[in-house]
Amino acid sequence: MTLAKTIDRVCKGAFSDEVPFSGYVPPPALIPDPAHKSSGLLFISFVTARSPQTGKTAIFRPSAVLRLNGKGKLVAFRNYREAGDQFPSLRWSKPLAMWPHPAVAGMTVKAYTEKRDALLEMYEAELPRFPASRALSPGFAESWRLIAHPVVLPFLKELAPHFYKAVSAPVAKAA
Amino acid sequence: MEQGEGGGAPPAMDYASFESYLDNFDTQSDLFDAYADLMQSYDPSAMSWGEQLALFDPDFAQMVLEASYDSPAMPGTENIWADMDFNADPWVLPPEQALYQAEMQVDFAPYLDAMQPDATAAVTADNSLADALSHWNQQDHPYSCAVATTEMILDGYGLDFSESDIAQVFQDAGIYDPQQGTAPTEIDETLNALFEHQGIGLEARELDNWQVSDLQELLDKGVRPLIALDAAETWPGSETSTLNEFMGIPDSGHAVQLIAIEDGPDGQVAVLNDPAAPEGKGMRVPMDTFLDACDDFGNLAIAVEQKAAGGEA
Repeated sequence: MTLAKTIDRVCKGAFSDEVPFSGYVPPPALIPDPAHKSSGLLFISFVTARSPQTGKTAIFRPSAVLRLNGKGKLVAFRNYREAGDQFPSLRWSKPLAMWPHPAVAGMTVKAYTEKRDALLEMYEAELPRFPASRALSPGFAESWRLIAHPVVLPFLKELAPHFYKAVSAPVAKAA
Repeated sequence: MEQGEGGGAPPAMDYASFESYLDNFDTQSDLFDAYADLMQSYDPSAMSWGEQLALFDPDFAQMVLEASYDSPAMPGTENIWADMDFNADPWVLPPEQALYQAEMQVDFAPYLDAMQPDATAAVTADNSLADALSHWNQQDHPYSCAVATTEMILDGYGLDFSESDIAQVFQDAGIYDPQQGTAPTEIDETLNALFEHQGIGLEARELDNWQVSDLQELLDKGVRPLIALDAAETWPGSETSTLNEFMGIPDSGHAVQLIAIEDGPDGQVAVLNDPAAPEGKGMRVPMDTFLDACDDFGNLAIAVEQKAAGGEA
């Protein structure tokens, strides 16, 4: 299985029978692993719920985090409902945001999935570069910022500070 | 990044400002609590989302609406929170342990015995397409696709379980949560426990990494399996409808019933009973699209078959 396909399946909750990991799972953050000259991937699973009447989806706080190594193998999993909640003061019952975020709300479903798939294909090339450079290619960073719901950002600031800084770097403007 | 309707590039993102803004809060939960309170009190009929955010904090409005987002418009005018009670118990999700580590110790008697006295009657299957279409049923709840699909499957065998009956069985087995959906790989065990308890001559089994020939073999026997897939890829409106119009997050899993594989002028098509959409009865999807959507979930299917005389399905 390619790395992009593995990421796709994790984000879609395809492994949620093995680990309780579903809901809204944005594209993962990179975690530098200098010892292996590669990067791991950090996924955050957000609780979601839909309004029975309107079908609109609300995004709640994270319920779990999961890490894969650069080969796409599961190396760590933390279920915040059981232990090790890194955001203990966040209530489970309060929505933090609503899907979709405005940057993609007007996009067709097909256009969104194509852009998302293209982003996932970029991870393979970013993994080996990130530990040394702590930087992301402009195309990857721009694509990630478009596809990922902004609700993930404050959590990444805590959980993946290097990635947060890299993805937040000002976009270089053409002269 | 796409451009706004007004032409010209959208404002550049300024995450450094956003980061420094977050630093103004003592803890992250201070920000989230304030933001959640804001969302809860938001009344779209009174003011725009931007105006509401500006009341909350002009700096936040500036950064979140104009910098982080391309389009500041908050779509729709309905108050989607009107029907929600944020302090009600259903919003407190059950422990994961209870949900996913299902123990097959369900007491079916309290509701099933009263519900279906004829469940032990001989089960029959009609493998015509017309019969399959007649069992289509739109799901009752946003995350009950697997429950509704199971209801269609059992209905095809003449077993008149309602969707709420099956939802109760799945909830008692710990595999279904109305807020999160169903753990598909536990469906076969749960159904087999139900069949055994009720003396129903059926058996459920899970297929992983199926091939099209496996599905065709089932269909030839009149067995119409539950299929796990990515609904965004099979939804007919995906090319024209926006994310704002799509029910749910496209990357979420979905369950449908496969009722036929047909040869069409442009190649094979999968015929589905999709419980999510009003037009989901007999929905035809090009086979390539169907296979891509299924591959995302490891080609997982649940087949319910009649037990042979010797006890094997």
